[in-house]
Amino acid sequence: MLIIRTIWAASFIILMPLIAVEAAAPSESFTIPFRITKSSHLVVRAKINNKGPYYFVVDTGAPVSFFSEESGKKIGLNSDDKNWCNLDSFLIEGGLSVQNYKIKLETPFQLVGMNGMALGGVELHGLIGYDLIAQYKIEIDVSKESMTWTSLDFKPKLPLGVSGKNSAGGLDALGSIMKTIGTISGKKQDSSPQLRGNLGIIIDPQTNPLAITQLISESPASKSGILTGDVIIKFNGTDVNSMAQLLKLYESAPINKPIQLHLLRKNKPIHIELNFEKGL
Amino acid sequence: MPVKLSTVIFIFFINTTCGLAQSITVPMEILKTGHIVISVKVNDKGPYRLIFDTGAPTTIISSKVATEAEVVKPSLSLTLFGAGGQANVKSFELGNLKTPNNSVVVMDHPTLKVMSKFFGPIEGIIGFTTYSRYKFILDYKASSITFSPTGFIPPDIIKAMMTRMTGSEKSQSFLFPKGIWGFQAEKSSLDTSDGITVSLVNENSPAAKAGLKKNDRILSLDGFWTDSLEDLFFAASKATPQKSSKLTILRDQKKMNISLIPSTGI
Repeated sequence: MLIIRTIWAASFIILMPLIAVEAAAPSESFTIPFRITKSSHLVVRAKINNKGPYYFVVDTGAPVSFFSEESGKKIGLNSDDKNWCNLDSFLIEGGLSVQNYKIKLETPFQLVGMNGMALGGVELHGLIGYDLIAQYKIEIDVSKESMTWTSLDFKPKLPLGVSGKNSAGGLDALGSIMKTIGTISGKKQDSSPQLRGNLGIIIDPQTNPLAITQLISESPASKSGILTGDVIIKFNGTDVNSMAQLLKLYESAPINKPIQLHLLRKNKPIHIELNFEKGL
Repeated sequence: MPVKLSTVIFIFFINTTCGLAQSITVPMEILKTGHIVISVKVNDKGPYRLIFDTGAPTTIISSKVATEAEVVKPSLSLTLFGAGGQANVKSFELGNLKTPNNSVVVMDHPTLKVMSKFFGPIEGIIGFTTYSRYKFILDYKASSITFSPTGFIPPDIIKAMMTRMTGSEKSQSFLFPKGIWGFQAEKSSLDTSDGITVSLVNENSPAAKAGLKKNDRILSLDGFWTDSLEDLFFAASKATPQKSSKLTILRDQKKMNISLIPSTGI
């Protein structure tokens, strides 16, 4: 009897490490790009059933994930009487694919408020909430705009307060201040940003004055008369002494006005005018 | 004397940098609603239970905490959101990690009142204005959050919102790539597939040297999806010249990665 017990116990000791190895699923890590909206929300992009991308706020204050009714309708999503919608695929930018995920097809009023005010700077389509966030160890550094999600072997219970619309006396209603402001303003969305290519001038940043080392073929620079070896003296009328300073001037240069460059070629001043195009 | 002064400055410097590098792991309570609650001391008073909410733009404390911790004088009107409710908290303390100078809004949030009935007193929300100052790691399985201060100073969100609502913000915005890449891309409005097609690779450019070819379909750049020209420009605007960027492309139906190092230039 004792022997059997000993064997029985010993078998556990031997098997334990195996069980432990079995239980620890390989945890995967994803670097997920995010944007900080003008309303100070952390926003990631996701594709639903290969449509999108849509913009989602990463929101530990939301019990589950939400997707706006309007966007859902456009791509033919259907929901049950409690607004749940089973997704064929939910893919977050950075490569994280969530299997068998269901989402609430509702427009959380935080979004109505923010979109109405254009506070976000981008149109927001949904929230990613606790039931998904809790399945990952999430590292966020706002200063570096970096976010890492590492899968945890953890399945959170479905939280209270998500049984239907406007449920549980407002338990899922965090953020209502936004709506209050939203009602007093009907400002429209930002139009999408204008895209500005570059001029095609490669510069040796160590030189002073800054020397042009290469011109990109078929670029605005290659057609402008600039030659390799020219040095940059002024950008749009301002003296240039370093690469950092040039980049600062360059960053704020308007798109639809020609750029004025003052160069030196063999100590002779040259003035060149050129325009941005669409090349990167 | 000058030597002594510089020593003092040096010690001060060491102190502040050490303070910055410190990190602290605090337990988090997870409510049945899925909300995270952490304990925070406000001006050495408390600890108070606050909701940690990555979806909240501002940190909120109740008028009770504001009075007890002497954040504002009790006589001050606390009902208005915005300029009226904005205050500065001298110190927030998480575990033994103190953070000075915290911008908060003082208000009694109706939702927190409801939650307090169910889960005991909850005295506010930790939002972007506070959490953005740390690198933090959320671990629901271990029920803990780790905070490391980064030195990041969040912008004045309320001021920004007001500027935006009154329409006084300059609205012209544009995106441009960081560095010189040496290619062009195109996508027709009828094309709804993932990615964007390379329409030109400039000779001898960084893109050409990296092996990018015309008709390659760029699916992502440094992890950012590139489903439109705007996406592509956005991703390239986050890159750093002379540092390798990773392009995931489709060529002859095969997925492959390319390392492209944009040059410094304009």
